Amino acid sequence: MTLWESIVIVTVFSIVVIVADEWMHARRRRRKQQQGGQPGH
Amino acid sequence: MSSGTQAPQDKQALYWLGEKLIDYRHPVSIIVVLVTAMFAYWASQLKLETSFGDLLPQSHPFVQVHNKYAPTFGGANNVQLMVEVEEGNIFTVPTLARIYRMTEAVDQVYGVNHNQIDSIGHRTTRYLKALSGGFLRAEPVMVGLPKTDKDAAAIRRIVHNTESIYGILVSLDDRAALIRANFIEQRLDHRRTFSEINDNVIAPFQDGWFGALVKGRNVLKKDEVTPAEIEVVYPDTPAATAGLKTGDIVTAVDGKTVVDRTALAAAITAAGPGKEVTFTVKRGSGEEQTKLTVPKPDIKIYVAGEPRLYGWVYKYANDVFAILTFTYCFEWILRWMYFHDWRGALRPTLTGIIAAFWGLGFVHLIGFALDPLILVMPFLITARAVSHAIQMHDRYYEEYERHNWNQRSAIVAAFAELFVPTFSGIATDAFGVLVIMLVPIVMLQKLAIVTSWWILAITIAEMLLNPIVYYYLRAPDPDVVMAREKGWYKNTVRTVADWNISRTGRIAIGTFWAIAAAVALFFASGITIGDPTSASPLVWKDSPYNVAHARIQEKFGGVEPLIVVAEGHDRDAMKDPQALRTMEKFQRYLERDPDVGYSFSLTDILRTVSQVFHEFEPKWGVIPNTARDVGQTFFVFFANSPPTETSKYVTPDYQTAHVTFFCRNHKGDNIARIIKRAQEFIAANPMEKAEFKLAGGLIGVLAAANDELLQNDLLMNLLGFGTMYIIMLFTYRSWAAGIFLLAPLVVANIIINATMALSGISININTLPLVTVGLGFGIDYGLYILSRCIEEIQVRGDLEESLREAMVTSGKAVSFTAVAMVFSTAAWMFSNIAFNAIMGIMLAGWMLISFLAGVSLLPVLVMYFKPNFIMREANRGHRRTLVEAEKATAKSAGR
Repeated sequence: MTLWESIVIVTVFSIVVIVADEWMHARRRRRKQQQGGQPGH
Repeated sequence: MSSGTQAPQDKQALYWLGEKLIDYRHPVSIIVVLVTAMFAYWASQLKLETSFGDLLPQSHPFVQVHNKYAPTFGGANNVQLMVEVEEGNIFTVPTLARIYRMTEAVDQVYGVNHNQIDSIGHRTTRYLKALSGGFLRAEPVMVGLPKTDKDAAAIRRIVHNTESIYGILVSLDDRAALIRANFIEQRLDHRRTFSEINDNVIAPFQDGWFGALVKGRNVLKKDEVTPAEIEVVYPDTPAATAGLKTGDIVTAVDGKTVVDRTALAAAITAAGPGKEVTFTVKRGSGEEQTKLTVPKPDIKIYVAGEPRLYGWVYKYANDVFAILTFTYCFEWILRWMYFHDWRGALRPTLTGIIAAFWGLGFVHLIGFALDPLILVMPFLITARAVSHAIQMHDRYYEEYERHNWNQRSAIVAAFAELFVPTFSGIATDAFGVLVIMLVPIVMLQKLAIVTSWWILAITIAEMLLNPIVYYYLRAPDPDVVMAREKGWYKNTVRTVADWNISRTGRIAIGTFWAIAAAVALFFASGITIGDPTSASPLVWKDSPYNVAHARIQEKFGGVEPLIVVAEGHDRDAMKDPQALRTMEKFQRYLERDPDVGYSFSLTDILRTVSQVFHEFEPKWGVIPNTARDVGQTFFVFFANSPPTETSKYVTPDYQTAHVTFFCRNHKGDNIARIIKRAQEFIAANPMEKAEFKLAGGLIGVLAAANDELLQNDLLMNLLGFGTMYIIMLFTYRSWAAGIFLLAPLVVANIIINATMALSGISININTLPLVTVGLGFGIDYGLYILSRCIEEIQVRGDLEESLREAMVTSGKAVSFTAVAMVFSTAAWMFSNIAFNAIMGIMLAGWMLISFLAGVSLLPVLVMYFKPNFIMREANRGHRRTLVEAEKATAKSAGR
């Protein structure tokens, strides 16, 4: 594996984690709102 | 704008600084980004290479002798290349022809010293030829390619009758020949040497051999491509069967163009034995195609020596990227699971990357290159950076809840409250590692500066930029923060903390560590200095290098040189019979050592010449009685040789010569014993007109390095701990604080030293920097717990409750950090470089033990001794709002 391959993999991996995390939290917030709960603040 | 947080009296300045960093976030960010970009640019220029001179203790007398005489008598960078036949002996025309051509190819490898090549195919390897009329002449063993069986038989006769060749350059069973080449240190290019030996010396004659000699590159026209022209076709070979003829040019194999001998050998090697390939051959003006079956290699070529070893290390070094990728992704998942939020995964990454750019850029800036054997070090430093960032992020979450979900207040409070332990932890690591500078080895000194700077650079990302990054990032969802406090991890930590400071726990833990330290202390004394085994510990035992090294040692007894210089007081000192007899006596004396294979000096030439003069009668193999006779005898041997060739035996003015001992291995214990015996002999046998000077060659310089390590090892440990103690003294304004914090570290160090001794890991120039950095492992664990304990006792007043809270909050982050660091460092076990793999496992074990000792023993000691530097802080602070976690801790304490 070369340095550039490594950089590409870790960058893509990080973006996937961030997107997945945001999606999960957004889904949770939506579900709470639908159930009539408060988002936290 | 201000967060409006009410700061404790003693931390008002830090709260103010946190506020100002957020206020001036744009200019601070721009400056940090610009400087980081500059360091990143420098980091991109960084090279991976080893400077041999930097590995040596230049002030050591052995190294000074080595430096003075290496260009003349040979240095420590020798490559040994052994050709072993699968069947029969080497004295056949095709095999001898290949040895001759391989020697030529070795002579063309970049950086080789052309006058310091030993091989029966090299011009400098001579024998005495008796001519009619009683004349003797020293002639090269081979002056050209042997053509007939008669030529091969003549070479065999010469080898068997020449003491300096038989058993030294040709094995006693006639099945192997040795080509030995010395490289000029200043021209060492390990990658280039490695590939040139593979492509030009091994491939065409071993796997790429098909029964014909092919012309290699023209030395005088190096920029021109020399086509693969058949030079000689040997009978009863695949080349002969395929009908190849002298003068044919092979232009393609299986339709793929081959431009030269190297490409042709690569194509045949790729096809493999038993496969039929089609050669496109240019013959005269026409082009023909012929089929050829690739034969099974009839010789095996083994290559050893330090330049070759480093070549293998460089070849394997690329696995660092695979390990980096795995570690990064693994750590991201762990941190995401721990913080329940991607910001928790990203923020420590930013700290690690910024510190890495500053560190690596600085490495290039001071003209230092990265050694592939210290690649574990950047991982360690980055792991430390990430560790501090995790503490900060954990605290940020806690303060976020405490400050009623006010992001700015939480950022400032987390920054101010953790400033002291974070900075102390960084300073302890950074200054602790500087003690490596004591060892007068340039590589270690550069490494100490770089490591120290890199660790200090963590402050930029972790302290200066940290509040700003948090401010730019959206705050986490409060329910995410709350959920973390109720998870299984927090509950487990709470249960363990409760048991740890209970009466039973305290007794059990105290007893366990006391017994462990006592047992480890007993075994730790067995740790060795220098290499522990004859095989190189840098690569795995079954690696091609160690297999080759072992095979060459087996066939030739010893190939690792120890050069002892006999330095004359005046010219012609080496013609003095007393000096020469002492040198001969020295050879016989040291050859009795089981790890010295054989030796060579001027006296061997003298005895051989005398013997040939007297029709090979062994009784005449003696040193003449007068300087005049000695001079005449030398003249016979050296008369037809240019000074560049003879200077490898003696300087042209006959003032200085050498005795070279070829040792079987470079195990630390063996080197120490051989050097001690040499010193004893030298002291008991003074020469009138010269004196022996120790020592050059690989064994000589390793002896010097081991010597320096031995002298400085204990001192470095003491100074390392001393530095940490002083920083603790200033951090806590207490003489006792350092003792409490260092006690778990000392126990962990004793256990690791015992483990190293038991598993055969020694202290050498490669392990030393990693071992020294390991000294400080765990000090930051203790710092975070102790600082939190002091912070808690200021508002709670009760030691047990404060300690419990410190263990549940800081201790939790510490335990997560430790687990993450242990796993990511242990990922090195997959490295092809055995040294990196072993160091990775060892350092992972070290972190684990330091962590266990830090989090379990420190609270026990604090509970037992109730130190004044903690107790005096009781009830000095204001009561503050308890967050959910603190309420749970108070509940668990039964208050």
